[in-house]
Amino acid sequence: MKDTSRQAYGVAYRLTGDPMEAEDLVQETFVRAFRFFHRYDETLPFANWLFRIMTNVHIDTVRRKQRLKTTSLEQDGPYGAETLEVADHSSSPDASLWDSALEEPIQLGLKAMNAEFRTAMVLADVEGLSYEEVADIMGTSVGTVRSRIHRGRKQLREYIVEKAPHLIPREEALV
Amino acid sequence: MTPISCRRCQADLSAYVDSELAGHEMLAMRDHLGSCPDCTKEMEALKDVRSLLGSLSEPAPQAGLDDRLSKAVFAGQGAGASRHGLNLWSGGLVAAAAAVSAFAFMSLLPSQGSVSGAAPSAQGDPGRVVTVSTDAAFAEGGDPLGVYVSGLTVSSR
Repeated sequence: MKDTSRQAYGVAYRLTGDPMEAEDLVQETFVRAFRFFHRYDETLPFANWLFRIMTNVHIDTVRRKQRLKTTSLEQDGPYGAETLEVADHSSSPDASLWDSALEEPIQLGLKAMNAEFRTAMVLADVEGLSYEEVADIMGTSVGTVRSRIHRGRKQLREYIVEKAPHLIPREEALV
Repeated sequence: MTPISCRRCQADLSAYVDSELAGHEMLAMRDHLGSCPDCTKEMEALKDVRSLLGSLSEPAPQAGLDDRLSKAVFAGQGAGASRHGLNLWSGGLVAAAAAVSAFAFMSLLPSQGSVSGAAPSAQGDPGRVVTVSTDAAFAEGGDPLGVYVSGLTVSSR
């Protein structure tokens, strides 16, 4: 369990796409986990329980932000309402990470996605959890998780094909 | 085996590449994919996305994350806790139970530094005050759920 906070930060970073927001998310998750520790069900791996809390906090935060958006930012882009929320990473302390030609388009693609799709994909494809575990964490059915992951992958694929086709050699060969 | 349509196949492709379908569904998909280049191409595209996500590096937090988490967790505590320490009358069962819960929680967190905090004892002498320092609340290499108070030194004042 030595790496719990690091693992939590990794997931938070993939969900938020921003080092500061990721740390805020991890902090809020740990504070809530401690406050509600008496509700921890020991049949669930501790990391999965943390992910459950983190998922709820993340989805709530995204929804709240969407409600607070000003009219000028309300228009949806081709990949959903979050397209215009791209953070300014020029002043980010973790800016070096964003120099990566591989990571940036993927992270931006994740960010442009609906929070539920993104969460299901990060848990399954980045963390390697089973659909059943993801369903348990997100408090939904395996069928819903299956659909979120499938639609999420298709959306991310479209995003990458449009913004960073070099990441997909097969696609380039077809052009 | 009942043949499946392209539409049905494409709806289940992600679950197929993740081996998340029932045995007979996996076989039906494999059968269809074996003779359908369009669905196979779509499957490869989805696999590409999955492997791109899987190839992302693990982002490193800024130094001191565990200390900040520890502070945030204890700052959020209610009665009986302060930002820099928890003072408990060891005779108080409720407080002791809360502290045991705190140790159980903290033992799940990554280890940072050595433990010099104290474990409360529900049957200890009633007048003793047990202090738990926030910066010492991490158990070194703690067993995730087994260690509640073991490995911690009790200090009284």
